[in-house]
Amino acid sequence: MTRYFRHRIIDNFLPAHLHGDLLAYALATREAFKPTQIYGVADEALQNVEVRKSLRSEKGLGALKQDFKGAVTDMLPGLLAELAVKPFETAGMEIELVAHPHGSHFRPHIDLRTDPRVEARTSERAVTLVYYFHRQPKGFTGGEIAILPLGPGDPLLVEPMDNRLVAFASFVPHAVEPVICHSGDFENSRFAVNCWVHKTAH
Amino acid sequence: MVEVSSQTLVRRIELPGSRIEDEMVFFSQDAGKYFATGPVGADIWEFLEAPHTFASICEHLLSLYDIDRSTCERHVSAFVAQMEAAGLVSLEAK
Repeated sequence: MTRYFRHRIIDNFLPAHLHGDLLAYALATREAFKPTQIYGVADEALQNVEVRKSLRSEKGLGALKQDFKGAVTDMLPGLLAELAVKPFETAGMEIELVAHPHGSHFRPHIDLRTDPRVEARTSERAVTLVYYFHRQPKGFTGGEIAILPLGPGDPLLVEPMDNRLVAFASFVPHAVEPVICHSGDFENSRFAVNCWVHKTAH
Repeated sequence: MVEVSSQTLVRRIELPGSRIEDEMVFFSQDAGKYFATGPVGADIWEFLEAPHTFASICEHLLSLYDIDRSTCERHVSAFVAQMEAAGLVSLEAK
């Protein structure tokens, strides 16, 4: 039997007005979206479209950031229990706004930095949350988060439905399946807010 | 195998991990590897919510499983050695 790390899916995560504001904001700030980077050797940020291809907003969530953080904070205690992650005091949140137009993907990875040459940090990622949203009607296919199994087996695919949040521990290996968007329009991208809840590093 | 009977086992809780079904799985950032405890190992891990001696762990498992003492001690000793090598527990003098 294929086994997976725990994850949680929450549909209709944000109230309608905040979901609408977020989509409007993303579409209105198109010029701020630039190619995403990954962390390479010695924690150096670099661009490698073979590994990760998508767009990241240099403006982040702007004024909507506090509302999003509030929504995450409210559900965090129960979420940790459901993910079987030992409770911890939140040491901060990283939040990024990304767009996945045609051809975007992210190869299997974890969200923890593992390079031993990187100097110790005061906090580390503990929980990963991905909030999907997009324009209606949906203008793309693919873009599922693939949660990789523990051992042999097929990945578990989580469909990027509008106003859906998926959460898992940051050490869980995962990927983003390729996005197919025949129109090629930015507006039809698979949009997402990536959020990492930090805990104090030991 | 390690001689741990006179020492107390203490969790190193900083390793990220979670329960999958009946076992615990941890990720070591230093080693870049996952470690799985197995079902009995998960029982030991949960018991180590508070520090315990080797003897105390064996007594706990003997209360849970139908197993003779020598077999239990042999398996616990081997498991503790693996956990220590993986950085999941440390051994401290009583």
